[in-house]
Amino acid sequence: MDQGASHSPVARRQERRVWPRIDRRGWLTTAPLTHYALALPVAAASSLICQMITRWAQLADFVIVYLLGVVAIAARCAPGPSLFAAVISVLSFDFFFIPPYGELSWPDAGSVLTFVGMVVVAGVISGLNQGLRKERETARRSEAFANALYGFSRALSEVHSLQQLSSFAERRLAKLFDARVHVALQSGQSGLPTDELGLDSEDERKLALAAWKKGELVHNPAVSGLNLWLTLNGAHRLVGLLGLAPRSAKRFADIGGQQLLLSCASQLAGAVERLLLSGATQRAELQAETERTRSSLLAAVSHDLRNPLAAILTAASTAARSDSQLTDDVRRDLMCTIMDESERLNRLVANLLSMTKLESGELALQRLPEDMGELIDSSIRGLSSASAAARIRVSLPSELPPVDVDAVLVEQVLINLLENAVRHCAADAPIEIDVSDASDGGVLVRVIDHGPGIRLEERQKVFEKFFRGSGSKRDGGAGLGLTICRAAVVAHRGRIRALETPGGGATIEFTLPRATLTGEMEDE
Amino acid sequence: MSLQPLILTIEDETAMRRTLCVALRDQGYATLEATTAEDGLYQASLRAPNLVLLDLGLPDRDGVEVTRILRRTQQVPIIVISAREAEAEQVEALDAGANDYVTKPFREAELMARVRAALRYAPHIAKPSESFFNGRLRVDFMTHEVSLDGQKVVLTSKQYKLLAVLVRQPGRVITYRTLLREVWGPSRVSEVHYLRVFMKQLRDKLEKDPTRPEMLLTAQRVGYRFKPND
Repeated sequence: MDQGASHSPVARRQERRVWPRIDRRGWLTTAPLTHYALALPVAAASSLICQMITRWAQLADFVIVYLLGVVAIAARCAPGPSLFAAVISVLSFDFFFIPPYGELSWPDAGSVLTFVGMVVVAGVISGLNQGLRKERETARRSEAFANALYGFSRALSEVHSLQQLSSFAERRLAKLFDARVHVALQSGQSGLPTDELGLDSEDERKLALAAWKKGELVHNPAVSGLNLWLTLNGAHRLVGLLGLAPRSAKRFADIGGQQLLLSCASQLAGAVERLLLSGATQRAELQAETERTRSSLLAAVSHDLRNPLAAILTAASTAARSDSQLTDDVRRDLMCTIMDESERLNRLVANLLSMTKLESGELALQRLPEDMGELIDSSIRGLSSASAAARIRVSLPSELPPVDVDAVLVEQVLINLLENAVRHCAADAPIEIDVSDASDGGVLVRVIDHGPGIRLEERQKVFEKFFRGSGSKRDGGAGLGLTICRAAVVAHRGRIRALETPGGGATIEFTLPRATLTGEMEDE
Repeated sequence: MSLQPLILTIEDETAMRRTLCVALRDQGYATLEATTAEDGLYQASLRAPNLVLLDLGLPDRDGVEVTRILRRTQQVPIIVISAREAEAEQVEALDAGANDYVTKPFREAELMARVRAALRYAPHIAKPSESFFNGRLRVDFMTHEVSLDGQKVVLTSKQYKLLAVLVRQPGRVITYRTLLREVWGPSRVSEVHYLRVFMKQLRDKLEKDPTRPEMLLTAQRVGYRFKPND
């Protein structure tokens, strides 16, 4: 019972109540001795009452008193204890009130009639009651059955992944049927989930195969282990197999085992199909979205891709011309152009790729505990110009724990922010990176420049796709740099915003989550 | 001619291969070319190059497998070249015995620096020395003593182990996995944060500016390398 918060306490309580109710059915066998024993105090009480009223009463009144006692028992107990009570009462009556007193004598005709009457009354009343009790029991059982099924299907509806489903169903069913349960779901399109079966025993495998082929319940008590198999029938095809090894055949039968099992199996099959379908829908939606993003991106940036390409092509063809009279200096200049434009193109392609991946949700973050200092250092090394790198000042707290991030993405965020700062500021203006503790327990990183800054009304818009600030030059990027920064930071559940640097300039600050450190790094 | 180091380039893309060879010859190296893994392995066994540049995206064979096969027979330094997307493969190749890696696209200067470092320190792999000294840093592998600029540096046992693993193979990229296994044991190979914390401590003790390390360098997402000098 460790599904944790996955289902409500109400459902759990209901389920717990199911068992004692069902167990109570076995009146005759489970609690007979106490019921039989009841006959003794009741007969004794009847005798006592008769003794007390002996002065005013006649023999017939005594019979009534004893009869009341027997009826009282018959109203509550099965025919067995009732008849026993009748016998004990008659014997007491005989012993105490039929002369000779104090000994059992062969009764006369009248006493025999009393005896027969008492037994018949006890039998009839307890028989009537037994019928009522049986009906009540049937009602109780069907309620338990419904509760069990309801609890199971409700719990299933709270499972949201196919991976969890089989182990979850196994646990629930094992508890419900007091059995070892094995659920094999079909992962592929068709065919037997042989690989998913994971059975050691050849007998179990054979039985499972038989169930799969027949498409119905197969039971073979001779097989030890999982000897009861049934298929999970979806609307259109079989979606899996369910194997059971009941620990107690009686208990299994008691809860209407087979029928309940079949109902549970069809619930489970429904849940499997639901999850399969919702997975497929999600994938289709995601694909469509990815496709849309990709085509809109391509349309928008093809222009930005062509610019550096055109420059490279022109410069390279000029430099390669054999009849030219270019000086070495001019040729080197052309080569530098090719290099710079290639870098730009490379950056643009990298940004585009990250953008599509981030937006489409395809990118699984590869999070590791990373040292902020290392990330900053390698992003500075990743800048295309060495002179820019020399302008950057880093201030890091000395005791900064690792952050839990995707290093490549965070590096790209830093590179984009730094390149922006370099592009917008005077060549000798310092650029600062400041790292501190964030108020939410994470780490706050600020990239501070002293350039023209970002106008107040544009501070939100700069993070939008293809937005270029009013102050930005034509040689800038595609208007994607900050968009990627935002997408990457948000993917880490952080925040990013643009501020004004005190004294003029732009500050971009963002937060990153801290790594939770496990285990102790013992260092003797 | 025979004194020039011989470099074998295994790369299937013609433009890349030709450019690499031109650049290498320009730096005074002799070059060999192979377009497939099979041809590359054959030439490597025939000509015993001093260094192999191996592209991980070969058409006929997995680059990691090629690394493994090469390592089985030779100590030749291997630098793997891979696309940005193939990080996992890169790490695998390094674990399989490659010395270093460059990620496409790269600048010529970056590749040449790696080539020089790999050629210079290749012999260290073969003969384990008793100590290391590069003019600034001294590490005595026998007494476990470390000194920087003649000043003794006190390191904890784990800090020393980490430093020693890196220093024993200068210039070579050591993956997180390998470092964690060597220093903390095989049960801790995924605890990368140990490395972050201890590397920071080491840099604080050994680097002039711990935020811009010059000796203990980060190979992002892959591991660390010790750069002996400039």
